Amino acid sequence: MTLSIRDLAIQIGTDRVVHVDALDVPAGGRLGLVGESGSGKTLTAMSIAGLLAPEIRVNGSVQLDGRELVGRADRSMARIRGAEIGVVFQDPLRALNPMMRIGRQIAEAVRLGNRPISGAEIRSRVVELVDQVGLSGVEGVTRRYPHQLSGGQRQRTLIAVAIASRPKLLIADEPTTALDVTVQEGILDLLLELSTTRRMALLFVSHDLGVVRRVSERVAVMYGGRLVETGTARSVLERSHHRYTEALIAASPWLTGPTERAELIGRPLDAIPGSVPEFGQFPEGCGFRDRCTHAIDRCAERPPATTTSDDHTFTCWNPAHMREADLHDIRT
Amino acid sequence: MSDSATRSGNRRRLPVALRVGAALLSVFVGMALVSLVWTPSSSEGIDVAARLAPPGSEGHILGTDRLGRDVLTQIMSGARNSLMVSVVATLAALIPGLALGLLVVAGSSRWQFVMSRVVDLGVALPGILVALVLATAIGPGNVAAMAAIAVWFVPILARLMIGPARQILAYDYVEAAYAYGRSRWFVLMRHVLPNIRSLIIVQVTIMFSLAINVEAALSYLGVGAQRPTPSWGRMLYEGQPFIQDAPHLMIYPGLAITLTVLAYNLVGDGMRTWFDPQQKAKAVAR
Amino acid sequence: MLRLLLRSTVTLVLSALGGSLVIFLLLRALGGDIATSILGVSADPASVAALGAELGLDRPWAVQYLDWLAGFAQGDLGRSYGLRYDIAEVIGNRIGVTLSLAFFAMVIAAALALFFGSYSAINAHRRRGGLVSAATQLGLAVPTFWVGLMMISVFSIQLGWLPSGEYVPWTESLWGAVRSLLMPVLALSIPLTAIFTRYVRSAMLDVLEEDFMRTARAKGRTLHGAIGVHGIRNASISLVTVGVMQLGVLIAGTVVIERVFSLPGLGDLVVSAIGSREVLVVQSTVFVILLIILCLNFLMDISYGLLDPRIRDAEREASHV
Repeated sequence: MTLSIRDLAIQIGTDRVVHVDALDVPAGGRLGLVGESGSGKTLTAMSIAGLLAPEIRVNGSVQLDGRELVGRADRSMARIRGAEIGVVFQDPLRALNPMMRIGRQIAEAVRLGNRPISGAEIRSRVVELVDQVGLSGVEGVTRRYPHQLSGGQRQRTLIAVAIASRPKLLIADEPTTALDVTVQEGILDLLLELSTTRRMALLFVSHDLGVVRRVSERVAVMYGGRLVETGTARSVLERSHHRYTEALIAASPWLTGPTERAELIGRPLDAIPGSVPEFGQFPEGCGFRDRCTHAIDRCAERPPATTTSDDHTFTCWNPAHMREADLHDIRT
Repeated sequence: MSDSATRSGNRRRLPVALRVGAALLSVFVGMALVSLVWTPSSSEGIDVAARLAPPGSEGHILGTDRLGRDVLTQIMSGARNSLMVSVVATLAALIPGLALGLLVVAGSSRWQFVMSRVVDLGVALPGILVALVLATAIGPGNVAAMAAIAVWFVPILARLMIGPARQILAYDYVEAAYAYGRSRWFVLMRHVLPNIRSLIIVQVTIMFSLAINVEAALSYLGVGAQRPTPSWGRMLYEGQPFIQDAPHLMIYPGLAITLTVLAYNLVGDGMRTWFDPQQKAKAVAR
Repeated sequence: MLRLLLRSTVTLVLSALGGSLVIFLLLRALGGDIATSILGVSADPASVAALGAELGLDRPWAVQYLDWLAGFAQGDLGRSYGLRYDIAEVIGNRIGVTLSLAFFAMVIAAALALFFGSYSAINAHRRRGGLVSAATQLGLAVPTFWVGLMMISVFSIQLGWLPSGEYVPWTESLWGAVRSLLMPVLALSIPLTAIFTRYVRSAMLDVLEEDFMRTARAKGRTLHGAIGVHGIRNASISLVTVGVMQLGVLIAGTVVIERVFSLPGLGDLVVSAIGSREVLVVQSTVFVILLIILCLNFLMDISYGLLDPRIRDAEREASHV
């Protein structure tokens, strides 16, 4: 396993805001982490790279190729994330330093991620990276400043920064959310290509199920700081068991492929009632029960993780797409 | 760290800075007031026999100067002068400063651009430079000091107003007031001024502290208060030749200036957080 | 860039002309008759008139003003009334002291502020950060000249480490100059450091929130490394803007501190001239000090445009319109 998370707990002040029991990404694997904003998905992703503010406490275990990352000092964590973890952020304009030329920002990543390295090597590597992310056609791109590039070009720059060290794990946090729809495709293709050709594990964080479905082999759905459903992209998105996943799919317009899209026309989107509570204010038991239209009395207890034969895990007392007999098993 | 928590938590408690500053300030205002009716000895009480007495001498808790005048007495009367100069200068600048600010934002955008530059130039002028010119023209003294400080404050006040006033003028309800046929001046007086009231109150406090600092510097230079008017800066000037033998002549007036300026600054900062609790929450939450 | 340069130059020239006019008018309009004040009220009218004519004070104000400006442009500021020294020459001899004081105080204050401001921003939640804030409060409150006096008392008189009141020019001895300027420069830099620290702190708090700081850490920088490389760089921009606003504070401090340490600078010249009613000396020296402020303003205006690539581009675009 490239990435292996066990009992990861993130605490802000006295509130425990994220608790992930288990999550794995194999080498070259692509996992989509899905949830509404406020579900804890970004916190989880950032905690892996040790990029949370120092006052946020992280406990449990995050292993990268068998090495423990939790509890490392900033210096040693910085070395690991520089060399082995790449991160692509949501807003590429804000994620790049407005005062520094593109070339220098990429070179900085090259230098920090491939120590020791000579100046000449850095320069040739920057050229190579610019080419790989498809920016070599942009005239004098390394001499430009971020505000002189388009949104898509900036995100490509950020990807070049992220892969500068040839990392084992690439974390992409809503990489297409801030971009035009027309540009999104190109960025997704690039991420997919990089992940396959270099056997780079990809953790893809997004609220957009359509995008996640395109990119991921496996999908993990988060709500209220907990994983509610994990499985292959196909089984989670097509035969979802957790009521939250189901509601999320019903509220998502672009999940279906072009051929199926016709069926969607005329079907109203079902918005999920209510809104995501603030951290620390989710109900006891199942965190989703106050917004769930299928909640039963039992939901006041925390539902156990159930795993079906096709490696599909969920935590729900009243799941969808289940046979009566299996339902009985869950509740007893 | 929800909004409601910070809001209710800080609502009715005065900021620490404000309380400390106010306490410190009341000491000096108290000293100034008491000096009107009573001082340990008469302020020009020359007593050559007791000259350069160290602190703790009989009848002179803080010692005496080169002519045997009581240091504590002079500090108390000096407080009076500092407070008087700072209050008069600041209040004198208040109306012209606000008027200048309003005048800038009341005009067309071209007018605003030119006038902002003029105001910027004024802000760049140091108060002491103005004071030096005025002292040359009308002779050194409190009047020159106060006039110079007031002149210096006018563009500072105007500068402070321009940004926020422009913001308020851009609000919808201000647009609505225009739609009702209100004049620009009506809008400025009725909507803009009340909205920047707290900003002005804080700035006035800060200007008191600037004025005290500059008054002290001017009287040290011999450009401000002249004998027999007591003043802290003057005490430092007169004490400088005795820096070796009588350091108390330097220490106490300097402390008095520092603590008074500190008091005003603390009050100003405290009021800023009091008026704008969100800014404080932001600063705390980083 | 050209547009920015042009606009700043026009501002500089207009401000200088405006400033010179204000100084001239204030001194003439409020000052009463200069010849009378030199000779005293009891002097006989004939000799007052003679002195007035000798000093060129009987001419109309407009002529006097233009004459002064024209002289200024040629580097001739006339002679002092009393001691008959060449004003331009004296200013030339003294300007170096004032500029050295201001320059080093500014540099030291900026460097200290970048450190303390960043430190207190990083430790905003902790006691250490609060300690820096308390120190800035004190630094803002304490009068520059008093700090100077206290320094003399401790370092010159008690400890005898540093000289006070003996200025050594740079040309004479580098080490001597450093020794004679050390205390005044430090005293001058205290209020500036306090003001700058506050600005750096708030700018740094903003920068710490920026996404690009997280990117830098993701590249493999430690938190402190990211602050050192990206934070300081971006926060120093804000320092340039405050720097402009604090030039007045700096120059004012220089005037006073020159008196404290008996340094032969421009401030010292003006203050002595006030005592002897040397109106022309005050007029010219104050104008030179004003010019220094305006020129520094001009330089900072330009450098601000140079430092931020976004402003540079905005300027370029605007110039095409």
